Amino acid sequence: MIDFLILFAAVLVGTFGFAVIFGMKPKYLAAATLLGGLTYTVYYLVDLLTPDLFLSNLAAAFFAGIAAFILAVVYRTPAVTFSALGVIPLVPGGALYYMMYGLIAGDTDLFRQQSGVALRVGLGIAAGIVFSSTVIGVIRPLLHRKSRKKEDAAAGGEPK
Amino acid sequence: METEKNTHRFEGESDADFLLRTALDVAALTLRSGGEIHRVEETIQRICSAFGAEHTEVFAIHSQIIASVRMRDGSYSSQVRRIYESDNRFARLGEVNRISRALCFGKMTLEEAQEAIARAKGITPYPVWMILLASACGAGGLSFLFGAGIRDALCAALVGFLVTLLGRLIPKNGNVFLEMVLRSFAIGVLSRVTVLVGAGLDAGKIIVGAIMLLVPGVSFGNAMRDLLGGDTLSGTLGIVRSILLAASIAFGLFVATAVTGGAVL
Repeated sequence: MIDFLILFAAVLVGTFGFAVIFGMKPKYLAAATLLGGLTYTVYYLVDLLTPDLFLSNLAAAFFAGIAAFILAVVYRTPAVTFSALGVIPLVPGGALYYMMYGLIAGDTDLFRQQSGVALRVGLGIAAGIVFSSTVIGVIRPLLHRKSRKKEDAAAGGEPK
Repeated sequence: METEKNTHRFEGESDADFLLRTALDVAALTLRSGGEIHRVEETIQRICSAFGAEHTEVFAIHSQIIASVRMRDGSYSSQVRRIYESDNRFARLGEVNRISRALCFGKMTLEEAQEAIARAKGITPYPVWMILLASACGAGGLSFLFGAGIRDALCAALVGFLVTLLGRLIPKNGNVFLEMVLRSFAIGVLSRVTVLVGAGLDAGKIIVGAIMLLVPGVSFGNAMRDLLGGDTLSGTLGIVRSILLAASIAFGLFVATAVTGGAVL
């Protein structure tokens, strides 16, 4: 538990740093930082249940995608700004580095092992995000119809 | 239909050339601020049809946008934009998105949009010193995920700070791969130095934390999403680019290892 809390705090610090680097608007910083922390929490919990890297990253990225969509609707800003930051703690930086290092240093075993990790994590994140945007694609038209009605009403109806 | 609804509002000002130029300005800035390909294509489609275009075609990849539009009176325009650099600049992306929405809902004219785009180009929410401190946070915080302790994390934060500072000082020569090699070389050497002076414990963990600042994680993720979402060409290009960037990073570190004469790992 202590281990997890330390990691959680570290993820918050890291995600906050990246949110500033990516030029996130100051008033969205807190939400983006928290999203990074929660995404990592989902990853951590699923990782306890299954040793499969693909599944744990898929679940976490799916969460990040859905949460980013909700935040995007609330704040009226593109969802990608939140989802890109949400998955920052999942990015397989270490595996990518050891993989390329193995390739260049001629360590074939290291390369093979780490490229498998990088690929599975990368695919898991991408699949999670795609899966979430598919779900959103189903929900969105319903929300859209409502908001359009509201906007037409606000404009006093469109004389046609 | 959207087109039917909006035509009468903009009669007399829907010049095909100016309309497409403005739509492309909005779309190009979207792409340069880290927007996705499908967002870029949709932006042009929606703006054009909101301003009375009868037919719009768009094709975008990360380095280029091609679009053509045909108006009701038969006037036609076809334009190409080459995009040289793109970066994650989310506050600017949000602002461009706002302009695009305002155009589509008829709350902004094309002339107003031109002014708004010129203003949006200059949006930088944070001063340089904050970016430097944020780099330290990013490198230090994420190094924990790769097994670093507090001492190594602080070293990673210091290295991240210095390398971002270095990146600001190096004049941009246009070759992003060379820049990556230089930066990762600096990370390799600096991490090794922190261990040599006795501050850090494990150079490998410091390096992995600090290179999170360089690793093209977000663009790799976006490319995978493009690929799985059906944008095969832009997805493939993005993945090739990410792999080359990762290879540049590894190469820089490899040279650093050779120079410092010790196993960095």
